Amino acid sequence: MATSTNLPDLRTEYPPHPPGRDPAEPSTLLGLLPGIGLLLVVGYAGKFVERFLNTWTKAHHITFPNIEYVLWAILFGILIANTVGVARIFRAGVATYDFWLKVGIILLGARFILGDVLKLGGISLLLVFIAFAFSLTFMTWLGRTFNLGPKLTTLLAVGSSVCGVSAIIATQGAIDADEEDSSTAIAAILALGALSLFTFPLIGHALHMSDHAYGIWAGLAVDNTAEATAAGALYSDAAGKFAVLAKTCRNALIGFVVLGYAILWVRKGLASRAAAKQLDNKAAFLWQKFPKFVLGFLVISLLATLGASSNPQLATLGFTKPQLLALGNLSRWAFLLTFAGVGLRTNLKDLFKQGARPFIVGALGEVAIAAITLLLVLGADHLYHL
Amino acid sequence: MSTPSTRSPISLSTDTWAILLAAALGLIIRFSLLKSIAW
Repeated sequence: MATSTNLPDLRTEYPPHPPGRDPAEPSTLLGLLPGIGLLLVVGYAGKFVERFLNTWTKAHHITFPNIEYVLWAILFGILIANTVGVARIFRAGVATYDFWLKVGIILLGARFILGDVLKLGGISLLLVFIAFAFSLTFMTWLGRTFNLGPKLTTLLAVGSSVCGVSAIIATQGAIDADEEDSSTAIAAILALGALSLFTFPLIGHALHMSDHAYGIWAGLAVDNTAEATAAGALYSDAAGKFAVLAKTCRNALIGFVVLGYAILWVRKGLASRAAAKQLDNKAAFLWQKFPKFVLGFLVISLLATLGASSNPQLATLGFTKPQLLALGNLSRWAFLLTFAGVGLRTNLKDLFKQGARPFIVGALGEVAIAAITLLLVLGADHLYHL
Repeated sequence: MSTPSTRSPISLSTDTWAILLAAALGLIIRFSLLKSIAW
């Protein structure tokens, strides 16, 4: 059948099984549609409930906090996935949530001028470096204390400090870790990501954090990109925007971290010949691991900046204000699909099935990283007025 | 027996597909084929 050709394999993280296991069914455009439809229905239901509650409580003069649609969409998704379950016909389409996340991030470039990206991105990068150095040392110490193997400890450290699941998968190949180690690390990171969705906004509100500061904190401390984006958007639309920026900076570093580990493993003589061979061309290695969608985000942000230029010739190259508004709204729709997917792929049973020790190490590490990044962000907010 | 391939003959990464879709949407908006998007 011709329908199975030329279509993307969009299921990079669903279900969250380790690479190499369970070859997924071929995706066809028709095969993706039911799941994408489900994402839209669940996400839109969240938006409907937010609007309904706002109108209803206002009409009845009831004081009720504005709960962003993000929370409803995720809760509805979790409810469906853990009661009736996601039927097979929807799975391939639901797994496209990662694709919509990337589309959303690229289009979000329309809501940033390049100057802000450079300023906040620069501060975020500095904070990422400090948090990374801390988390690496701390997680390594924790792993030794709890008698975890060095590879599992490395995967947990990379997952919690850089970029969640993608970083774990990238590092697994570079250090020849077992699939069991990587699936344990992925399960721990996903479980902790799900918990952070509910704890981070509460802490942010308790500390009366600004949208800027909270967003950057969520982007730096929550591991998986989808969860970091959701944790930011749960606080406010603006916080979601800054969470994405900070998280994108972390994602951009993934290649360097994996390269560092690969070199270390080769020097220790622990890497296989195939893994060592990848290092022959370090520039190609870095490019291969670099998240390319970040470039799309930068291009859109550049076009947004050009559109606001006082030079009329430059301004014609960029987007006008109404166009930027339209692109920003398209980005919001893409994120709506993503958040529905986050809920639908959260399998509570799987999250608690893993062993206790990796989870404890991961949880202790995450709490420490969240605390240290919170202090760093509050310090940066004081110094640079984020 | 070989495992059935999950990739199509033209195999692009999720990143590339995301960039292509975003570029298409950007062009549609840039050339005013769609004037506004509601949220």
